[in-house]
Amino acid sequence: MTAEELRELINREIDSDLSPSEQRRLAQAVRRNPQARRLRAEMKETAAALASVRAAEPPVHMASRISAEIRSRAAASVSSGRRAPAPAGGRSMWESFSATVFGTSFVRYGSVFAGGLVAGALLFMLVAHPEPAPSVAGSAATGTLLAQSQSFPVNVPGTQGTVTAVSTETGKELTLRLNCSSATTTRLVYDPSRVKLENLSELQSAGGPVAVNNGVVEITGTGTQKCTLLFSGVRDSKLSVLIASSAGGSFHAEVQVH
Amino acid sequence: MAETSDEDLVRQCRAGELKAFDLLVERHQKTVFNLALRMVRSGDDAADIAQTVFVKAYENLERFDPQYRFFSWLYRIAVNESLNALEQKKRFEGLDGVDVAAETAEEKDDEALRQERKVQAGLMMLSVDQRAVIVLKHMQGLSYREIGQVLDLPEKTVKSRLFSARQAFREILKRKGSRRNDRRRAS
Repeated sequence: MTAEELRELINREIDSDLSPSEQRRLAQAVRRNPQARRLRAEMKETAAALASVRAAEPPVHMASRISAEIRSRAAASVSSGRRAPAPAGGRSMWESFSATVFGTSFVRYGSVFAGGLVAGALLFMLVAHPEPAPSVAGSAATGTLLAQSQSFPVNVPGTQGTVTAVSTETGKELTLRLNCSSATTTRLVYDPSRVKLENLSELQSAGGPVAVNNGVVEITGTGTQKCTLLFSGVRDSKLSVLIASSAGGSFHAEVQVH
Repeated sequence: MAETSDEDLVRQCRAGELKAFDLLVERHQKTVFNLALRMVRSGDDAADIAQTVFVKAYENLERFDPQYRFFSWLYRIAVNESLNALEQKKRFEGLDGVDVAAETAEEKDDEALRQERKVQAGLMMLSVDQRAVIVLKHMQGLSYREIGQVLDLPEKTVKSRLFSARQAFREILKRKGSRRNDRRRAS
């Protein structure tokens, strides 16, 4: 048996992939050859080390965050006229709001116009605001805010903007300033076990939180909103801000570290 | 009562049932999270990757080919997203993800935790291609064929890559073991 064959048989033994005759061949080789015995023992030890790694539990709120994001995307795709899986049963608050704000006439007659505006706005963002470069996917704008003051002007009528604030230093406080113009819904998504949100009363005065539940704060309002809130989180904790605005809406988010 | 299959849930979701997608998330979130975690090591990054994976899966459900298993498709997205995240991190930080942080007090008291940390550090020293096959085989328990579907590779290539990866990992563990013995002798 060549060294290459031996290596293959040992590996396939680890994967329980040997036929009875191959098992016999390997057993024979191992009996006769001390090097083969050592290699086999080491490979088994390696496999055992890999098998010893326990599966980690995902963050408690991961599934609810994903669910919130999926619903936001579904609402956005409805507003842009794309076919989107719509729930057959009851609608969430977010979906109801989207249906109200992005009424069918807007979807029907405004989608072509809005599409042009979206493309123009995204192009504007890429050209006029190269630092930090927001990665643009579909109709959403995403930016990661690091330790210094950054602003993300997003002016995308009829669609959504997403800003993620990341605390890069333990125990630091971030101020998030949102300035949203007419008919805007803002959804803040965070992990309450890692992030503490304060100044929610500011949001009340800016239109009032519709829901504060499991790390999701949802605010709706017409007219200009301006609110300041604080959130403190452990290192690398995140707060995502999802904004949906009707035609003509604009949004500006700014995050500062104190 | 039999559990609804992934494929049925995908069909329901395509028909507009968002709740069906919630079930898919619930069912696969742990494996997707763990796959990403072992690829990139950071829990926060893994959670972000998992979210991106499910969002992409949702947005591309129409492209899912039901002749394959749903989880294979999901894992393929997860591997690709993990590779993207590693690439981005490398670009921004200029690091290759090699763990250099000191052992925590908690780890000193917990042999299992220390072993896990050693294995994870070893995984990060493999090439991303090798890491992917090791994670899919040993942490996700996929067959050669399933790994081939996830990574879009012939079974033969999966086997040879897996065997080389194990060999490389064994060398890494041996080096780590001998370094540790040297430190013990020195102290």
